[in-house]
Amino acid sequence: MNDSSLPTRRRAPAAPAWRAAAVALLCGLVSLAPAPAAGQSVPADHVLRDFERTGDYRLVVNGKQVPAEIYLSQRAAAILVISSSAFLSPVLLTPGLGVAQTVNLMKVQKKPNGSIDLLSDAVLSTQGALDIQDEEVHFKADGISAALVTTPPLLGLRSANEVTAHNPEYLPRAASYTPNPQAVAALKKEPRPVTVRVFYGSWCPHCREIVPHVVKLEQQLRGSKIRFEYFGLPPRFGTEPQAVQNNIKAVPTAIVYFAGKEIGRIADNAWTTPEATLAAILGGKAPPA
Amino acid sequence: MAPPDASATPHPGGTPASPARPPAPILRAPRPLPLRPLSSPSYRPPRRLGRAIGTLGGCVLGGILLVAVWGKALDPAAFAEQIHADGLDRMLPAGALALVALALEAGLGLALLLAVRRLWVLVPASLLVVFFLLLNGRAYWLAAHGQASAATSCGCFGNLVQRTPAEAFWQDLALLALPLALAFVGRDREQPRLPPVRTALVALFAIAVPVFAWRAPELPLDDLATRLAPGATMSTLCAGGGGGSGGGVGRGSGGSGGAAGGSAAGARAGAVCLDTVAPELDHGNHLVVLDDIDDPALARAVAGLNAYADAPGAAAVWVLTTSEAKRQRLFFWRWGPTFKIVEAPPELLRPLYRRLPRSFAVQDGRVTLTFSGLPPLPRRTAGASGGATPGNPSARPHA
Repeated sequence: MNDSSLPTRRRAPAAPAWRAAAVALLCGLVSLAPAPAAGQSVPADHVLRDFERTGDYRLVVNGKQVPAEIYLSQRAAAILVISSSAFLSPVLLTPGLGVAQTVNLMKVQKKPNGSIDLLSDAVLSTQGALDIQDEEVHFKADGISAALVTTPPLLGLRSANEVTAHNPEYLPRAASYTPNPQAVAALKKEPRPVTVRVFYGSWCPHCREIVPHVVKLEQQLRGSKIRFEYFGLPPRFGTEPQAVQNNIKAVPTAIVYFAGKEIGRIADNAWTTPEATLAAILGGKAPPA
Repeated sequence: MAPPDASATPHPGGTPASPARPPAPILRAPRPLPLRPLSSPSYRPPRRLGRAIGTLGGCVLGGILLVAVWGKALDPAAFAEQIHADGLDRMLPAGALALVALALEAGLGLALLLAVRRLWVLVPASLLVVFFLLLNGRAYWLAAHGQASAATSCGCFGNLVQRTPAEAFWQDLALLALPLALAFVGRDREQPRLPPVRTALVALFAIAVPVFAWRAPELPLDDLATRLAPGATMSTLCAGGGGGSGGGVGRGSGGSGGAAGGSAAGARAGAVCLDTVAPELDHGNHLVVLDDIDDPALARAVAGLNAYADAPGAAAVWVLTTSEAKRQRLFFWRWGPTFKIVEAPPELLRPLYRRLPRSFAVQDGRVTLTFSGLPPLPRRTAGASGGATPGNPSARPHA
């Protein structure tokens, strides 16, 4: 199917509240999708599956960012864009084919861990070619011209909510991490007010593996005297004042403060079990950083 | 009975001693001490001890130089990169300079090992040692003052040994300067200036080594020349962390590259290991390709690698690269790889190959096979597979 045969849909400028409601509705529909799928016993496609949320890209339509859930499947080498405020249907971008395709929303199956599979009987409707321009990927779907652009890094002091909103891929990794229960129990008993500041890069591939563990630890230590905060650094952070001031040579690096003074660091191999390292620092057993 | 010593002291009374009395003790003039202070300009050690000291020092220094030559000759490209990084290739291209340096180092090393300790050997050897120490001292100073990655090795031992600048400086000082001094102290002034057989051997060796280095990249010596060989484990293939200089390798000043993370219980503190950047390699079967993401050969291999990765029961396919995230994203959009691409610090990857691409198979964190170039994929997966893959969507209904 080529572009000219597709019905074009002109949208009136949408109010942000309407968009938010539409995204919520679409997400709700996606989450309901497993029920009919299970009833029909249609298996998931053996290639177009395991789409996981990614914060690498944002959706831009007419030069403006629009709300969207963007999923990446490494197995399929494809990206799925779900945005009710931009498209009637989810849009599948497949670099291997170089095309954008739409898929019926009812053929999108959301799994309990938040990842998405397409059902094997999903019909893909080709919308047009992908146009790759440096860091942007332009495409057309449902007659709407859109682009995926690289998300800029999250900078400065942030909370865990801001961090996971920017990098939604952290959430499933945090959920799958199980901190050492003994170390967590020891940390919960910590009587001193302690701050753990994690210097990280939202762009950094290794932070994707490690920072979710800290997020999970923070969740488990809620109510304790240990407070976590996150400081986003840009890709070239060597001359960044905060990096220089705190002697940050690699990310992620966490600095543990008590009464405003640094009492230890978590870096490099100490990230294997951050809760154990933190417990060792607070217990005065950690080697000097 | 020995005759009275001429130097014996006469009897105080001037009368000769009575034959009935025991003879007076024989007094001898003190012997000269066997050693004189080293500061004496006329100092010359006894021949045998001096020769032994000189031979020992010369052999140690020669052996060290030859080990270093072996490491560099196996991977002359890495040596040339180091020369370029040190800014020494202003007069000659780094590759040519590497061969010249190898010839010099090989010749001097063999000469010392063959106990040719004349000034024509010792003076250039001294200059070479001073030069190495200056290079390492500079790297040490830069690292100590935060102007260079402390994890960067000097490259003096090629990729066989990886040392931090601090380690390199102190090791070189101990390993090179001391035997050089001994070789000087015990140099043999009596042997011919140019012993014909040994000089000929030295000259031949000095020619042969650069020729070998020139052809070495073509020889199947990757396992010997690099730290990546069957049996190596992911947790021991590391960069950085030596000498307490610590720190991850993804330096902010060095680019957008990755940074230190952690795992690898067996790794040294502060090190970044292969299972730091890809923890999954510690479990299961994997096929790993080391390559530059802009390598056209890799782009051509995407279809085959995708098909292999998609085959049931196949090992997980990875590409480890030093290319930054932007280039990886571009690669994804251009070629649609279904395998994982992971960024790793150059200091970690460079000692693992002589030429890119290089591949290896991993089982539960241990290298089982290595391949020069891309992995040999089974014929049935070398092209596009027959199943429904992104590259072959025919199995899926289309509107």
